[in-house]
Amino acid sequence: MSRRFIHKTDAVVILLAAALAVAGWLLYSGAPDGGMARAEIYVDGQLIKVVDLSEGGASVFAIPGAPAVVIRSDGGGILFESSDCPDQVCVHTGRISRPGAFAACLPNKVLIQIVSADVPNAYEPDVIVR
Amino acid sequence: MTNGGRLARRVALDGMLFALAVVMSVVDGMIPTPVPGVRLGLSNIAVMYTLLFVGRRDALTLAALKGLFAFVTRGAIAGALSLSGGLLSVLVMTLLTAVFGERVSYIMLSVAGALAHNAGQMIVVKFVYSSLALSAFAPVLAISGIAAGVVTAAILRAFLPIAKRFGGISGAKDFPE
Repeated sequence: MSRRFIHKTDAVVILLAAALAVAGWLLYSGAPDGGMARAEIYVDGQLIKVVDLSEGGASVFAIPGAPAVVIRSDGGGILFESSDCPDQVCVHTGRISRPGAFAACLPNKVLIQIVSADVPNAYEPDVIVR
Repeated sequence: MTNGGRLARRVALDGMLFALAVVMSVVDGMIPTPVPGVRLGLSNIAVMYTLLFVGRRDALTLAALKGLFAFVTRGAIAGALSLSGGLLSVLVMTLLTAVFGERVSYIMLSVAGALAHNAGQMIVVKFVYSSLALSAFAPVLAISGIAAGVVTAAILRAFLPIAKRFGGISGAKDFPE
């Protein structure tokens, strides 16, 4: 007996799994847009900034601890504008706006994730440096 | 063949397969995918070939070498991602072949391996970003794992008769057909 490329049962199992995954993905991407959400920016696991996406207006920030990373929010969405990392996965991820979405720059350990406004905001700054 | 000869043969064969895996992963990086950061995992073709036609120990060695190579060329996080994904993938595929033998198809092995690879990488991502909610990303990883698994299985299967025609990779076990 030699190994088959595919069995009929494999096709069924794989198609079922794919259908489940697509359903899960639709469920998440069908979530409301960034109107009622905020973006949390983490560096090395520490929450360093929260951007309220329900407020309009664009702004650009540099990230303390990762000077080569530039993040831009544009009222409703947020994105990595530039980074010095070699793979540029974070920049190519593009604009994110829906709760559950995230963009990450692994080499710089910077993470942006969108959180629904319903989730309590745990961010309380200890000191505000001006 | 003497013991030393067998060892030398094995080292040479594993080295060749590792070189093949590295080239495949470079080619892999050039292929655009719909989701940034998601890749086809072409080097898994070399790993699967090794697991099925060379040996389990060699496949594990290959995954470890790939991790080391990523560590040296792309840094600690890339190394940890590659090692964690690679080892979990080889372990799952080894388990499948050990339990089901030849009854497990190329597609099933490859898809399970790709999904395990993604899961292994997510474990590392979760370590780096403990605050990250990965549930929203899980469906994307599942879909991409299935798609990548199907593609790599097809390429491996298409490659087997060619390898056979050229007498196989020296030192490997016999092929089907």
